[in-house]
Amino acid sequence: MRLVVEKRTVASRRFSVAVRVASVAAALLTMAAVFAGYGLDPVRVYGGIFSKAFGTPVGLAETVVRMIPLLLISSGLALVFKAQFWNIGAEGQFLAGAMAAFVVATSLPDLPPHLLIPLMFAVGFLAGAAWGVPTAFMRAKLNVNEVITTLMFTYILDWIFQWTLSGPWKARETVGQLTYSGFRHSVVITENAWLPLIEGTRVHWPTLALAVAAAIAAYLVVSRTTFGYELRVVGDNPEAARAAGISYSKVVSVGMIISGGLAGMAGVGELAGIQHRFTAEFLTGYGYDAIITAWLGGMNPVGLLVANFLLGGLVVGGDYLQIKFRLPGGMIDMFNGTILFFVLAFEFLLRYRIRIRR
Amino acid sequence: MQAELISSVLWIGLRSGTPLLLATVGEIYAERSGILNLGIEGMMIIGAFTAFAVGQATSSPWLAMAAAAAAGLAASLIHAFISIHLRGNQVVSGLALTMFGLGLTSVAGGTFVGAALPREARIIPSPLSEELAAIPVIGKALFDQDPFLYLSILISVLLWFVLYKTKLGIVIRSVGENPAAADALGVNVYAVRYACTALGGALAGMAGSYITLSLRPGWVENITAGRGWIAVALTIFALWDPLKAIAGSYLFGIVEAGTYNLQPLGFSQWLLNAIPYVLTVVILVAGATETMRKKMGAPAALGVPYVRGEK
Repeated sequence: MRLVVEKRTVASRRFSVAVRVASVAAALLTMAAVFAGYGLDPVRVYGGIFSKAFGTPVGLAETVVRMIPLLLISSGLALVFKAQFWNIGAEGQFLAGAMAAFVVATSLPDLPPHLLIPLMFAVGFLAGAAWGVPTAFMRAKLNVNEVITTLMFTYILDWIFQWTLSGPWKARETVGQLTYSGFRHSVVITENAWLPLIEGTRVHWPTLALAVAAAIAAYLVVSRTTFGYELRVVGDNPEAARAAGISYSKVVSVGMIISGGLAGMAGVGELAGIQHRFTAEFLTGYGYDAIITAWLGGMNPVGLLVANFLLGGLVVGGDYLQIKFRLPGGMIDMFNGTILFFVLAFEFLLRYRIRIRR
Repeated sequence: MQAELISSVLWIGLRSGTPLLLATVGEIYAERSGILNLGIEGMMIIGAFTAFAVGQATSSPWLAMAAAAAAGLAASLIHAFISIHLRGNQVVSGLALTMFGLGLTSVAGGTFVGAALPREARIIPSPLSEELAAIPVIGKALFDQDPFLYLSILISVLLWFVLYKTKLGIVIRSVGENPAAADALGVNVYAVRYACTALGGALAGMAGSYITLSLRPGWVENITAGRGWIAVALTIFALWDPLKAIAGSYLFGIVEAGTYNLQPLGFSQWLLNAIPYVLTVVILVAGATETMRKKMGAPAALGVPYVRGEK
């Protein structure tokens, strides 16, 4: 008797969902062991995360707040990952979008909201795309590894951003007759640029609507258009794509415009919907977290919605863990890494069948 | 004055090039065998923290370094298993390893943040010879370094020799270029790939230990600050050759050290902080242009899982 591994031609939809669920469950179990090793009761920790993130209307709303940027970014990433183009720099493209929107909001503070807000989103899209496109060019023309360049572009923009907060964009504060520049944060943007919220929550619904639309649109682009077809051929079989005359540089550039642009819009939403000004802690890692959900959810709007909703809840739960159990913030990174490991490991079952042969 | 400044830039440059060198040479081995490991940053910080923790507990820098190598190796095996046996996506697995390493060390190191490493646990520069170290400009950089730095050069040269001048080196390179042919000749492809990935992990762990034992003795979160990614870039820049990696790593370190002297000239420290990352993009483009000109590229089977009898 021995184990035989055979290639699987297709995996049924139900089986793929089951494998995904199993991989996340395995990651949660592994992390339970970590919590136990940390001297915490895993049941209490998970119970706490669950009731905090999903148990109350307030918690649910917060989970949706975290889901918004994740959904927007991961829709673009899932699309460009189809071409096997690894945009790891969504965090930087997110920041580029937010910074551009900040410039718009501070230079045109008197523009009415119904003009200013769409303008900010449009400019944010362009800025996110512009910060990403050079890496796509370098990949297409010089075969420069995009994993590194997209990440380096994030580091570079982050330092430029930190510089703006200690210089050009640093707010001057007035206390009585005294004006001084204190902490490293910018001015608050004009209220004309603030996004409307769902009553009693922090859910900035215009960005939520954009995110859902983006997830559906990205899916339709990939599954129904010529460009989507080209994207998939480039990803599955680059040789065939070349033979068929599909332009690699066009595919990855357009893919990058979409994914960088959506990340940029997510940055606009974060600035205009939640934070309203820049602080040194503006970035919280949505651009990296979205890599996981893009991989987990795949190019499927329902999958993306579920994956991002769950990860949004995990982010909310992570904040809770920090406060309640004084766990370091890095616990979430560890969670994310573990989930990805198990998702990858379990994918083996989607591609191969293991049989016992006598 | 001028000579003194250059001398100190060179001295610091070689020091900051050392973790880059070890990690790059490790990645060269992994990639030469066909395994793309983007988890260097993760393995490096696991090594950095392990070295800090062991150094604090035992006050023995060499024990700390060995423990860091073992920890880096252990972390690399996760990636190796997913890439080799489970045939998973190597890009995503490497990213997962980086996230995992950054998270793990943040969790484990939580209570140590800001702690310095006791003096006896550090690796401290000591001149090879007082007379040579007194040579102007280059003396201090070449002859007044710590033993770890000289060891890293020795390791790199040795690994270059193995890769290009021994049968084992041919085996490793053939596994990365054409695993099916190597397999047909009786080479155990999986074993070679595991061994090379593990070596890469051990060297990344050692690279991390140099940061906490010598470069910045102490512990803060994210202490590797993207050096692992710079090593991935240097691997390409060095055209997968350990000797060129020596040149590339030190060049990088020296330019980085040099930029810090621009601050008194009125450049913002925040902007200067971005320079290593700009430089990384520059060397990637330079490396890519070079590979195109010489028509030599990455190992042909890089990132492709090997399955006997499957295309």
